[in-house]
Amino acid sequence: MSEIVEKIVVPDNAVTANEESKVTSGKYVSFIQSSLKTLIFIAIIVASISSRLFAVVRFESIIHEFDPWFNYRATQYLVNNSFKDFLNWFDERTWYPLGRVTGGTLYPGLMTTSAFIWHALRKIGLPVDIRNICVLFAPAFSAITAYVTYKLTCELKDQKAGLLAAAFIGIVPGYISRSVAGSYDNEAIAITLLMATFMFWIKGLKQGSILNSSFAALCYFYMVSAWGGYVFITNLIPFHVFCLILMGRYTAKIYVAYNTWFVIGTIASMQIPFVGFLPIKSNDHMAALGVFGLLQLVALGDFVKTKISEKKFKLIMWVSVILIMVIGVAGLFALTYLGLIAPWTGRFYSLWDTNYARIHIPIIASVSEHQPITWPAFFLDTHFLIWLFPAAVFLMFMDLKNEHVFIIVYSVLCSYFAGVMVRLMLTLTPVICISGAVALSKLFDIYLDFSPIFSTKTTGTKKSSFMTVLTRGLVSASFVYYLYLFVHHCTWVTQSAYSSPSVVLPSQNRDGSMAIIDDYREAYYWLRMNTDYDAKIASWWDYGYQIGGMADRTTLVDNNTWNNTHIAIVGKAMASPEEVSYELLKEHDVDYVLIIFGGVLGFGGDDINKFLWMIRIAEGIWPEEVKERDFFVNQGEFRVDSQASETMKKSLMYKMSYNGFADLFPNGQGQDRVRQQVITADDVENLDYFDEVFSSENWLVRIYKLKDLDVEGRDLSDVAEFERAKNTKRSSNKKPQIELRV
Amino acid sequence: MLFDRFVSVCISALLLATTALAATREELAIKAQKSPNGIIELDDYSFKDTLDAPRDFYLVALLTCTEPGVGCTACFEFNPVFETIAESWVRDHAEGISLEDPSKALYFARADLSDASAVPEIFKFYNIERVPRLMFFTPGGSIHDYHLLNLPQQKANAGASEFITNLKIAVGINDYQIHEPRDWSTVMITAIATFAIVYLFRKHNKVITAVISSKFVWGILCCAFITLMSGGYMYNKMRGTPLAGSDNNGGVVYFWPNEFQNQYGIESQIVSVLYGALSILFLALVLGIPNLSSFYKGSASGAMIITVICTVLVVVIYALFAGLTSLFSIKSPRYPFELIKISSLLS
Repeated sequence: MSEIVEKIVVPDNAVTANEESKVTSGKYVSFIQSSLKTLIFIAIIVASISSRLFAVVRFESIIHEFDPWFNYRATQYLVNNSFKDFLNWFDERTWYPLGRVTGGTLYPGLMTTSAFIWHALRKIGLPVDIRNICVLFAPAFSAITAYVTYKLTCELKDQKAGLLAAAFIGIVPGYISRSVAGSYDNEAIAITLLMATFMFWIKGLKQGSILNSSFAALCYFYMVSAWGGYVFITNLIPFHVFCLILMGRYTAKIYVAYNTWFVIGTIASMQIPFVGFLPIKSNDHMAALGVFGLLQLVALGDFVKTKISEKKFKLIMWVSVILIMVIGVAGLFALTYLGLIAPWTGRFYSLWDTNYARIHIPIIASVSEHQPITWPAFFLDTHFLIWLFPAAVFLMFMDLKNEHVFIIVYSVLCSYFAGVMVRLMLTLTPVICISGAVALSKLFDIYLDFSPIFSTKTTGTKKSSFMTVLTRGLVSASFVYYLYLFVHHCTWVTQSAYSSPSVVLPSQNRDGSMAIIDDYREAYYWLRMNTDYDAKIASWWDYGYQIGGMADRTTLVDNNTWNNTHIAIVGKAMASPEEVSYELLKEHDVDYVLIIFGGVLGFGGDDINKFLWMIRIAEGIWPEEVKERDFFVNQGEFRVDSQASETMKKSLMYKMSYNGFADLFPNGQGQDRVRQQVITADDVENLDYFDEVFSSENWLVRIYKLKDLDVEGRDLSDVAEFERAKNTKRSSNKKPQIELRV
Repeated sequence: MLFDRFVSVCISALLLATTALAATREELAIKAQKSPNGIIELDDYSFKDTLDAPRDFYLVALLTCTEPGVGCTACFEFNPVFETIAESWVRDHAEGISLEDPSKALYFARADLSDASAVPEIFKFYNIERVPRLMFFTPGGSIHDYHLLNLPQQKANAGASEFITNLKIAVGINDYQIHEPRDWSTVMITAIATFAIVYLFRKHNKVITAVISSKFVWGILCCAFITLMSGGYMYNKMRGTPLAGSDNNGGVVYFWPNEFQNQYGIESQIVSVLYGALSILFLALVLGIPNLSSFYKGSASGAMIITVICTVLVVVIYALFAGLTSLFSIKSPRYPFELIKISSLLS
């Protein structure tokens, strides 16, 4: 497949050479050009789709990770019900017993699009499973992104740069990271729409065209319906206009384009239930509103200027500027005082003061997507484009038309945001590709021109023209070589870093052959087949969406994390002694508790390693009952072996994780492969209130059932004590075949 | 009446007798107020009195070492933080007693090993081997009953506020807030900068306007900013990473090997410089060479010069890029596309 990818680069340069050498003109040239262009596009589309299929080829057609499982479940709901039902969907099978107003708290763009595709395919007689549509959704849209990026770059330079940009965006890992097959997430469609909005915006701005600006507004609306990151557009376009005004470049075209976009876009975006009245209330949208007002004033000033003398105009200008500032500041104060707007909220600070979130909003700080980004990550995601990027921005300054200002503003703002938050790398990648393509095509414009060797009328000698061509050949060759490396780099990164579904884990057998660890699905399927349809499953929130999607059982908390107290309840249940947890879980109607345990397999992302977060979140609500300090031993260490703290050993999570663990090992010395500590049977106290009902093949997922209340009204621990006294024989545990895997 | 007074005198005498050894709240409050930042200095004579039972207050004691020969950087870092913490408490509570809940009092003490020849008694008493140590004494315990507290993970004022938050929970009080010492240097810098800018504007209006509206200036500024960001500068700023690390033999390590999620401060500086150099070389190829060739148009030696310059540029770009990839393979050892190993790339 990498062979296909490589091909893009070569024909690309062929076109550059082809177009540059304007030796002959006529129908043939344009015919060859357009057919080459088509060919290149087909190659780009094939490359961008096929490199995203690694995940499907390696594993299977499966939805990845966590959030996509929710999107998939919502799409299934939409396909099986009407659109109206979908918008009014109240999901009582999550956040039990609260439920979630799902229809009003999601971005419906993604699900609606796939449902539309599903219906359309059925209409033309192609009934495709909705799962396959969801899995292949992101690759398909990446092909569209490539085309839209081509169009956008054409507006900046020409078709040559456009083709390069399309090829870059097609295979660049920074974008693939969120759009491999199976990664059915909002970002899959959002980047396409981001590029489309910008493309139409620049077109509209260039021509002052109402039509194109309306298209930009429609794309914006679509974007709002699909991804929370639409706020980026809401701020970037006004900022662009603001910069143009500051540079003294106000024209009627800008007026027309911005007003059209703003009015249609804002009204349209308010139709999304989750967004509602945010565009006129929240401070995220204030910049757009402010620039809208400013533009009216500038337009008025522009009009007045043509009617009166310059002296009078200056006077009017000063008076009105002061007046507006006074009214503006007073108005802001009044509105804030009345509580109508809240411009100085935590989110506002957290963007600019990078330490704010870390200190004041721990739940944001704890999410790995919100971490700052290291330099290797930049390089991994964009390869040589990252050092081409600053040079490219400088070249934009050399041209500095309105559209170049846009790219500059985009680059500067987004490189800051990406540096602060890893997930925003996704929005930075397109602009790196675009500007990299522009810079590279400028280089090729100069150095891929081999015409001196053919022309005889140059004033220099034959030797000097030979030298020129040699130099050009050298420069071009080195950069073509970088392109070749880029393709290899992208393919390597995609297949090694971004193609794991994280639902099934790749592993190796002793002999080096590939093995697949499929414990998650095994466990979820067990739940689906062996438990009551209305059974309530308690697990840490990370697995909520997967349980909902794969096991179709009711969960207490899930990845939507809208209710911190509810999450803390689960955290408290896990961190408390059995009898307390039992009571708490019974109060919430829980039937089963599911935990992830990586000690057998050596899987680091398990619940014991996440345990501290559960404790911390529970402590935030019940500081009296759960104390983080109690879980540490004296030296401030977090231990799980015989030296573990008493509270730790008594906690439900510990007991459930290590229940029967030591029996797996012949000498009774359980070796925890994650924490590298030895656990013996004596370390783990009896589990009296819960029954182990299922442990997956590698013990990755363990499911416990809450025992029924005793018929004689005794305490369950007394019952267990009584039973033990009666029958000292231990029940044997199922042993996984751990010898098989490394 | 007389009897009442007699009883109360007796009781207070009794109380005095029992508390004769241990320090009282009042004594500590006076000591705390005497010191410039509300910290009671523990000397060889008083430390047992201060720490011994019976206590009716909370006490945080810092054992630190400012002896330069010991070279305890953590001590030097934490000392001002501890002073901020103590000062913040004393400023609002002169008596050291919580305003909300008068049954709770809190004091701060410190013992400093500032002279290696005279190790304070308290260090011997507790067998202190490592500094800085934070000891937390709760009411009712004896001189041997204390918990060790962790140093705050964050630096400077953020660390102080982290510590105060934890202390509030540990003591069970709410009326404790941080008073950050005002940093006059930033105020001064702002004032001088403002003055300088205003002055420049008035004097050299035209030059300033030209600079501000110059696209070269803006271009260079923007590119520098982008280069900084893509070098991972924000990571260093937010995480407060150390500039460089050291290996087991005490040698300096510039690049954190095999760590994708972590980096040293110097890494992003090196990488930013590399990016910047590569960008400038690229710009030289795109902007410089065409200008040069139009300058030498027609001359035979011109073609030669341009060939040489281009070759040099291409080779340097290749070398720098190769350096970049080999740096990357320090961070990610399995990376197969190192430019230095050309042979492996052509397979």
